[in-house]
Amino acid sequence: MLKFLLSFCVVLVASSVIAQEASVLNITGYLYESDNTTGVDGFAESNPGDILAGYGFVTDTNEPLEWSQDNFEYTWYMYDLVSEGTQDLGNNLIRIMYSSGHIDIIADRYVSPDHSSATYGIDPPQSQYLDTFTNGRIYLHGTFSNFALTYNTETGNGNFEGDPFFEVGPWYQSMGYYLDNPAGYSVVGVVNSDNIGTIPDGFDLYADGNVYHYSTVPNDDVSWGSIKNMFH
Amino acid sequence: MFCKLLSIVFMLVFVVSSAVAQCDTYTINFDGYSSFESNPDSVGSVMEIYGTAATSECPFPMDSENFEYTAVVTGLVVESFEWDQTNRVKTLVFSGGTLSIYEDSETTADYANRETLSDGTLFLQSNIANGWQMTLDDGLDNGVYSGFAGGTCEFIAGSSLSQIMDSGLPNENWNFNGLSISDPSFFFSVPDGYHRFCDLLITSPTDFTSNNSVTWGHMKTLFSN
Repeated sequence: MLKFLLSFCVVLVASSVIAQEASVLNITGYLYESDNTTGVDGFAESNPGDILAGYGFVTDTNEPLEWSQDNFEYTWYMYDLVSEGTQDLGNNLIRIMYSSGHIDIIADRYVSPDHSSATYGIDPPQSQYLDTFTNGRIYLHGTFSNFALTYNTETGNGNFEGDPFFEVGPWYQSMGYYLDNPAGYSVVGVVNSDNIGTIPDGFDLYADGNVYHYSTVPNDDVSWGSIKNMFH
Repeated sequence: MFCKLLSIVFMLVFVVSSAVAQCDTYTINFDGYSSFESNPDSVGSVMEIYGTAATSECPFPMDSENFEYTAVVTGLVVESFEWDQTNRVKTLVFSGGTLSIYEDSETTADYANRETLSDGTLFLQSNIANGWQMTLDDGLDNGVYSGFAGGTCEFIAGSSLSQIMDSGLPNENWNFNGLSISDPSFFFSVPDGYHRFCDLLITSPTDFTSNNSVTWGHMKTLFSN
């Protein structure tokens, strides 16, 4: 385990100098918003204050990250995204901006005494099913600074994007690990309510996305005048 | 008498459905890149997509150990293009287009040489229905447009075409989805000559319900009492 952690952290540090682009994690799962009563659509109507959440599996990591599917079950849990209401963009498109919110990436060792295989259950999302995704150690904890979801109400397709500030989980912090560039991440993906498999009861959307890492903070264009003003 | 007749009708319906194969998910997924022959995002422009197949679940088992599977979309003509710059949304509607999936053991796919993605045995081919729609948006106003696409396709040819019929699936109305379509950004680049990253997913018709196969013995047992 220590080797894996070490690899992860070293790789993230190293990537800041050798790569400017990387999809570090692939995530799939399901999202739901507020009213989760079976048969009641919590989405696409999104009212201010509604809460978006979801969970699922980390299905892949890309080099140079290492992971060990033989020893760990990797899951994700996104929660506490507060809707700011629905914006009608026309042509059956809506956009919902969310404030706050978090995403956790969790590593659950198979041989751990409290391990339970993640399952969506028959009427999720309920705590006993959510627990199967959140047990284990929080590997990465992200806090979103922004999050947008655009959705076509006619086709059931949509996409989302959010920028989280990541930090390693509490246990890893206690072991002295940290991320070299905690702000250099973005969560990007698509959602679908209709034609990609069967969505378990209680969920509104299938979600498939990536966590991207970039090593350098994007630059802002500035004028020479503004630069000179900085030194006045 | 009526009950017997009803039973026979029921049995016949059941027997017909019993020929259908058992798959919960029918998908073909491939990652690749799109390019326009001329002016990107303009009416009349023709788009192509080249990709490598990542996964296929039944009824199209892919022998990924011995073959490379590639996908090529050609002839997608931009019928309409709208750019809502206030809300930062681009909408493209296409007509035409053919999706071809190849199975090849000879050459390794190289995006710089598109012929390496279109050689080998034609595994499956489909026509893309008019109206395939791509929506790209810049929700966070960071200058990068990404989004999704949706429409349907109809399989018409290929060495695995018979597997569709064998499994009881229709050839038409397969979902042809574009996932994670994105302009180049600080997260990733695209090879020279391409304009966008494209992750495409083909799934079986939405209203399809898989059935279970049964033996005649099981059928008779059902009605023995």
